[in-house]
Amino acid sequence: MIIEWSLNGRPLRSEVSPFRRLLDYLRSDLKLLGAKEGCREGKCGACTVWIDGQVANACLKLMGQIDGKEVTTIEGLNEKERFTPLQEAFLTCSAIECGFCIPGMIMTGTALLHQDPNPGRLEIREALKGHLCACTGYQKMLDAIEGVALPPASEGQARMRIRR
Amino acid sequence: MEFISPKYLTEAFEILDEKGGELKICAGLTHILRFYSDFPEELSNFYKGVLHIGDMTPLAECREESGRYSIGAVTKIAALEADAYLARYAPSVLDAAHSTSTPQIRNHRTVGGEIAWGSYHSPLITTFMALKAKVRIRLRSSRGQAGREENIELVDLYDGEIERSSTGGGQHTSRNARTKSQDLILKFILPSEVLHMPGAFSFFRALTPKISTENSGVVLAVSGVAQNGVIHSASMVASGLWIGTLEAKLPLEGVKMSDAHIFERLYAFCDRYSFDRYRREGPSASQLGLVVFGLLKEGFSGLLGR
Repeated sequence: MIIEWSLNGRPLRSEVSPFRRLLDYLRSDLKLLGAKEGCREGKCGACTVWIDGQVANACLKLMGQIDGKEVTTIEGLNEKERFTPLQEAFLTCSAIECGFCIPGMIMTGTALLHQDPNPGRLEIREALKGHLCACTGYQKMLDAIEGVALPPASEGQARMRIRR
Repeated sequence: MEFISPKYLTEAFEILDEKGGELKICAGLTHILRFYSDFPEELSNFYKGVLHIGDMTPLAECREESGRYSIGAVTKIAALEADAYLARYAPSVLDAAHSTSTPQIRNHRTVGGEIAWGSYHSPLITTFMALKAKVRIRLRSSRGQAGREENIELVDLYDGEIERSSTGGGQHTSRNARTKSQDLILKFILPSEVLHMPGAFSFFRALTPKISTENSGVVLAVSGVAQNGVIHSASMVASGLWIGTLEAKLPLEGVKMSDAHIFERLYAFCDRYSFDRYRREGPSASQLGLVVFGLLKEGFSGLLGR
């Protein structure tokens, strides 16, 4: 089956079985190794990519479902081999240990910040509910995302966030 | 095996009428791919192909029709969380949607898929039942006649239980949706008499801590009507694997509500009750009924200062 899709901003025309999982196609065929296979059940979030701008488990997507879609992987976030501010923050906050879950965390954290430039800690925790990390205990990851978030625009907005 | 992905309803209907019995209808595939790691091989004994309806925008529309609210079958669960109409008239649906699985799954799982899978832990199924939702189904065609559509109560969609065996050897028991392979769930309808009755209220709560991403433990949805500061009617639907589905009318008619924020406090009250010791064994249906009624009644009594 011919799948016409976009990957990291580039249009692609792929001849692939519609039943091939997106994660397998990205890693095995396209050699994009950022998305990891952690559980193959959509529980760990290590395979998180964006599909049409929304976070998704690549392990639970078939190539047949990708026709006409825009997929972004962790490799598509960086420009000119520079770290994004969130990636820098993860380093600064020592939020990386084995690193296996990090690409997925970065994809979700970046998507959250696109949607809400100044999320509260609760919103960040909610957004990361689809991720498992066996190493860090999560707090430094929350710190990193919070650190990149913009400050509230006004004192009133800050008060609203504390109330929530 | 074929993979057919129609974009238009007429196209899908033609395909179903022609070879619906040979095709497995799929939408988000989040349940199926998680459970059957070698999909579609496990189903190749039963089906010759997959009819993928996940990209059919006519089936993803949510709108008010004649006072009722219809939710298209392939509406993503994440879309329910952002729905302004539901936020106003059925906030329990927002809470139930938000309690479902993970953000990644909610972005791609469809309401129809969640309902069809039939999990006892599904927040949405319980909440839709509490709101007396109906399901509009296009039944398979017969003897040269096009398929006809009919509305049925959501509670009547299920008939007994189904045991599924996963590729890894796990077992999963859920409600058995009695749709046939050519039947197509089109939408869910929340009736106006539930949503628009003056004083209508609803809330959803997970009574136990989440056991896993797909297991919310015991889930509870309550809906009712309160007018002039007095509860007119209230009923609950609770469900969980250990108890099946429990529906009960709550005998709270005539109970006075003295606090405008009574439901915020009910939420807080439900949080204080821990089902932790039941997480693995589960309460019986009658135990749960008594406990839920008791805590709600006690909650009301406590809130009223009795």
